[in-house]
Amino acid sequence: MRKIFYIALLLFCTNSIVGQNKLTNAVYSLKNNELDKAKELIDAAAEDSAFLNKPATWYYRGFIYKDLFKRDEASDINSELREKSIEYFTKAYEMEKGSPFSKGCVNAIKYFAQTFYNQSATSFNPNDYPIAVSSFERYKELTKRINPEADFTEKDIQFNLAIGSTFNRIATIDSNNADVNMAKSIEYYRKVLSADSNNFSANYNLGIIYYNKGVEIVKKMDYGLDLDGLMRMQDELFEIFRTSLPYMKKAYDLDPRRRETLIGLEGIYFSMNDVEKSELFKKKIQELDGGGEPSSGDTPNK
Amino acid sequence: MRFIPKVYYIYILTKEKFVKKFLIVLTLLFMIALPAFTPADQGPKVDTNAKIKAVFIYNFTKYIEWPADYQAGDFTIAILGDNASLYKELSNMSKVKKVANRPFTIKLINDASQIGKSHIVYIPRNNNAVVGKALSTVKGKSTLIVTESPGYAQRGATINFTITGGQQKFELNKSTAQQHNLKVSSTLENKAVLVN
Repeated sequence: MRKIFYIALLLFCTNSIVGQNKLTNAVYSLKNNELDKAKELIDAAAEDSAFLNKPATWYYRGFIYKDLFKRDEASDINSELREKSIEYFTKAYEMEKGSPFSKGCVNAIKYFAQTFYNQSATSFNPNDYPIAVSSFERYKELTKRINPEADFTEKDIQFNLAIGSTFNRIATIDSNNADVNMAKSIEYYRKVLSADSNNFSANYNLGIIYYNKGVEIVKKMDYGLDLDGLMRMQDELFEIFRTSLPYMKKAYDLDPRRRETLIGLEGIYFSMNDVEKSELFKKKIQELDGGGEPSSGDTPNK
Repeated sequence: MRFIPKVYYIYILTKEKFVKKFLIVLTLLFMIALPAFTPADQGPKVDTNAKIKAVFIYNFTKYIEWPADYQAGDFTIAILGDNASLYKELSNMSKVKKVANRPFTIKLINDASQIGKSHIVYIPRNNNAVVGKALSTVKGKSTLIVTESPGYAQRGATINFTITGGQQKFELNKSTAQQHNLKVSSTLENKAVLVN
């Protein structure tokens, strides 16, 4: 009986030491930048019941996978190493909030959130915009994970401006689906204005989208259009230009020295057959081009 | 697209200890500084009103009948004065449309004496000073005078463009049309504001 007890004690100690070695050796390998060896050791430790419930195991596993991500998959938008690292840091963080590892976990998750943010920022083009959208959502989700009260208002504005612009570019390229993509562009700019009605870019861009829409209709108009059709077309055009006007006026109010808005208002008023106001803005452009201040009197709101 | 680097701290593990390291964070500032696109994206400035006027004028050629001695040769539209946009639109129209199989001739003239046997003479508002002389020149001829200023249909133009509710309409002086031996169809009459 006494003999069996000593054997059991020996086995227990051996297992503990081997297990402890897995973790400490993994950290040692990490410090020596032996990442593949570190991964092997930490994966084994994570399956060891002696270390399964220790935040340190998941914390270091997260770190090892993060370094592997940086070494092997930093440019891979679907990196599995990154996903696993996030998973391990999150696990360590949730196991024991306030542990010595918490701050490191938070910073690591913040780091990964920023990698998704960067990924989004570099994907705003007609081909990759779905990556921009999903990456931005992931950025927000990860940020909320460590800061549930995070305020994304400003970031959402930037995102919606960028995606609105992207859909506008797509509409220009893909003429077969121009209407659908232009509608999406409008939708995103309107989202910006619902968060910040004084946003210059959203106001200006909406004004120009509607103005250009009217111009495109005119450009495509058949010279043989009959009188009834022409009258109907004029009704439609007037509504489009009238829709454009308040956005451009707002952009002008926000920045009266912006040449683009002066050109926009000149064009919109001209297309609405308001020659007097169109001439007023033409004069302001000339004043601006001459190096002077555009006259402030008689703004379009008056 | 512009990226503004922003510094963010993360903690990484080194051989000795955790230290701060910089991570460059990109920001989405694409649209803040500059608008995405401008009216200039349309290419050369588009005069929407000129195109609409050109379509009106083409309709006039369909719904007005010129006398027999105006039925041969090209159908001539002259612009008396400066209106490059309308000239361009009418020229574009002349490439794809005809009047009863007759091609258009579009010309810019700067004096009423150059009207000749034009079918239509368009006088831009910036050249109203010559309307009187033009009317005298076309007396006894079947030339349709088109103006674009308030009151000019009453002053002798057969058709005068007006703006109503921000849209282009036209006035028709029937008696002037008759004086010039121009037959106006009821379709055109019904769309016009009649003046006498």
